[in-house]
Amino acid sequence: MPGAPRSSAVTLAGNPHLSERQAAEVARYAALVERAAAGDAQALEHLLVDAQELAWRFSMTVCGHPEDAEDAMQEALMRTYKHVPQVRNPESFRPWLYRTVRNACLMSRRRRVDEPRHMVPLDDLLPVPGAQAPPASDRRPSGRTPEDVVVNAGLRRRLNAAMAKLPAPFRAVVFLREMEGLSTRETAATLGTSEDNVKTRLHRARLFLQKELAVWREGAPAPVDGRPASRSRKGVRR
Amino acid sequence: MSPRQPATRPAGDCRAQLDELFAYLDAELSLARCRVIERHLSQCPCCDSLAEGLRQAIAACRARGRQRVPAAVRQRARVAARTLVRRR
Repeated sequence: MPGAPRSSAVTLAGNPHLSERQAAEVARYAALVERAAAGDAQALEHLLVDAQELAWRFSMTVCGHPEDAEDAMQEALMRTYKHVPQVRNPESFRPWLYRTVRNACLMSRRRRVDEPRHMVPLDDLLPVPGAQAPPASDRRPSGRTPEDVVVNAGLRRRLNAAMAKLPAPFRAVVFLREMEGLSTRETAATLGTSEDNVKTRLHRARLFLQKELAVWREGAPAPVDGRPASRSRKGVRR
Repeated sequence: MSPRQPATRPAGDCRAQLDELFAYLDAELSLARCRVIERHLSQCPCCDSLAEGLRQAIAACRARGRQRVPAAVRQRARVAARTLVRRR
């Protein structure tokens, strides 16, 4: 339940900033890397597939070009293959992989023609005070928590379209924090920025996404293909 | 809100609590701070509505989770990995 103290932020992998899920991922990668470095071909193959799939997800979410994604996959494959035998600290592999994939994606990325360069001003993302809030019954359906939200096809398309309207640095933060489950610290390390910067971008992106999703709930048609229905730059200040 | 403030801007108190609201939604606040935020939300429909919208946006992102890699892409990744490993 959001709002409850985070009791699950335990130190499973020696890092108090990781949740159980994140710590389990770190441990899973560490075990694979140890086996691969010791000559286990199956573990190495598993890591190489994981690296390519991560490169594809990152590239498609943050950059959006299938051709770039293929290039990023190839780059991630070769770099991981060369890196694994040299790993001294297996737990450092996952952050290394995310940084490598991020670099591979940014190296090959082509900017979309309609890609926003700047984030919507904060004032445009905040609600108007005194505006009538929806009835409580609409805002908090009984018996449902946000975790129960089922990502149906319409919501997924709207979310993808809203993501596409975010400038790339904001998209990268949402991707790493919300979709890949990295901690703020891991996200900052991956993107080569500060934790404060990650938080600021995440908060702004969340405000933007909630506004876009609210418009959709109020009756705007969902986009067809995961892109905004219109390629106009409306809502994004250049 | 002061009458001099533009109608399109949120009240100063609400805006000042934005960071706290995000920390609350990320379950990073102490119980005492949670109570302060919850009290504010119970008294401010504007912020309560925003908090609910944010909860839903966060939940939608997390529920979407990792994008599924298409079968053809996954197959190519497997073939490329296997080819490289066998070449050692």
